[in-house]
Amino acid sequence: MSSSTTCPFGTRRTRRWIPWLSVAVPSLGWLVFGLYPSLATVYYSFTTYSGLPGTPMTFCGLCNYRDMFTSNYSQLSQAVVTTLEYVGGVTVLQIGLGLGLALLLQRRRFGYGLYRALIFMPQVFSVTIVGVLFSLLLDPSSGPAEAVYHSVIGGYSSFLGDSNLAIWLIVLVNVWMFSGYTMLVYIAGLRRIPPEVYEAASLDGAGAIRRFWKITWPLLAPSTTVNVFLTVMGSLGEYALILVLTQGQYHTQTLGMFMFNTAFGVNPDLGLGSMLAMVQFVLTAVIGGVLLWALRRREVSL
Amino acid sequence: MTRRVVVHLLLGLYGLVSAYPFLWMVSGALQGTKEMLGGGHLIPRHPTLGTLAQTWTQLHFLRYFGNSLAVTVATTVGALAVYSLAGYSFGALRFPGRRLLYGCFVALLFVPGITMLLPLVILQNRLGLLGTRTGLILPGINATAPLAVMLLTNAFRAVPRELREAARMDGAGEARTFVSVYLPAVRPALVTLALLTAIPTWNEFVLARVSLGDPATYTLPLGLQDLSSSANPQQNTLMAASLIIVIPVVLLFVFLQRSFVNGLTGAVKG
Repeated sequence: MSSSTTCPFGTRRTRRWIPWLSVAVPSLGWLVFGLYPSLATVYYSFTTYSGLPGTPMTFCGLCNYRDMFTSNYSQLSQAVVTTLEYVGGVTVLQIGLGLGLALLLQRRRFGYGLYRALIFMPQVFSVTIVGVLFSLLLDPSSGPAEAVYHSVIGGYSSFLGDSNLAIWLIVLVNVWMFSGYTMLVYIAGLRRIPPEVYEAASLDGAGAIRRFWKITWPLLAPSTTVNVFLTVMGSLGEYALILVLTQGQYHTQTLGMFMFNTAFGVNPDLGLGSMLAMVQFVLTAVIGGVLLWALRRREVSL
Repeated sequence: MTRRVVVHLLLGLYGLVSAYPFLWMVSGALQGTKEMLGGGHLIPRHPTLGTLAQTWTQLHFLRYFGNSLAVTVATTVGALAVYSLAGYSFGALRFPGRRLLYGCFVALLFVPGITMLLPLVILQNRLGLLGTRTGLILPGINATAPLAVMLLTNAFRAVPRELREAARMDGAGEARTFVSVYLPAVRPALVTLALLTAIPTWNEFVLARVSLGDPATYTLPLGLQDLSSSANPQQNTLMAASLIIVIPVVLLFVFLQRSFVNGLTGAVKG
């Protein structure tokens, strides 16, 4: 490499500008596609605006908030309850299943790589595909699930069309998609536990269950923090999966789905939709904050 | 020993259940309409590539594939170009305010994507990008910002400073140091970022659905959605369409599994 002074960005004076130039483009993107939409949502939530081109946007103060917390309150509270059911169901099942699979599959053994890949694979599917596949699988008249249900349990079920069942079926689809990810985070955590710890415990005569609760579970606390946090945040914001499976019908209208239907539905109301987005944002921030605080405290005390 | 067999059986069973929807889709895509209407079989009796070919040509999936490919390649290349420079500045250079700027990018992680969807559509409209590929590409690049900045800043920071000083001694300027010393050193992180950008972009559905109107501009997921909501869609056609979308992703996943997995579990370690 020859020493040259013609290299671009060579002199001391120009060099000072390099960092700024290099972050200029992403910063512009951040302002236009990150900060602006976030602030615009806040503003739209104080307006009446259908969102359709050519319709007026009128500032109306707290009108959307007032409407939502009075006349439409039952719809809102129902959506929040459905959201919490969904988040709770997904989190419990996905953490449990992910941990169980990780304990079984943590070792490097013949065939285990294939199992891990099979369990992880659904994550790379597009939600549209998942929607199409499960709508066909769970088709109440011709799907394979119907045949199994009919012969094992007897009777008929409308599956995704059953208001008591639909939300839990979507929970299961969500778990099917993402439990492989939870598993991988747990496997990474398990592999960081030094084997000597287990050897010492075995010498002390601790059984497998005792070893799990006294060693594995406390030492896995950082992985649990990551998994619980990501699962809760992910399922709180989930709406694409619900959109492709039930469009929010049959008691599956989570807050995100309610927002989507309000803003892009038959009678689009972007003002009200933005207000619901604000509720979603506040709910996410509160739950996320409390969760991080609680999980950190737990890590320290374990 | 018997315990090991039981564990293998359980895992095999679970793996099969987990893979069943995928296998069922592949099998359906390889059946003709006649076999499918007769109920279909998990192992096709008369396997055919006819359904795939028909979906590809007559149902416009060739065009959707092209649209998806263009959007995905542009978004991925854009994200790599933009954030490798930014990551370099954050990780290897020093300048006032870098912590604050870094924090701004990472903070986007805490804004749920759904809350930005509505203004994004209006913004696309104002910028004249509604219904265009650019209208998907630009927000797509920005959506990777938190992950990309974290991943690449860490990678650039991990490059030993001695390498940089050695390059300087040889007379390399900043651009040269970046291209021939730093970029090769962070290649694994770049591959990971490319995967974690390309796969979600390829699969992206919601923004495309609310912003694309003209079927000529549809991406693959939108094409599938359109097909499934058409009157009387054939099950084997739907599965063939799904398979067309899934094949490239599964291939990427199989060949680059390691970078994908390392990236996903590594990104959260922060």
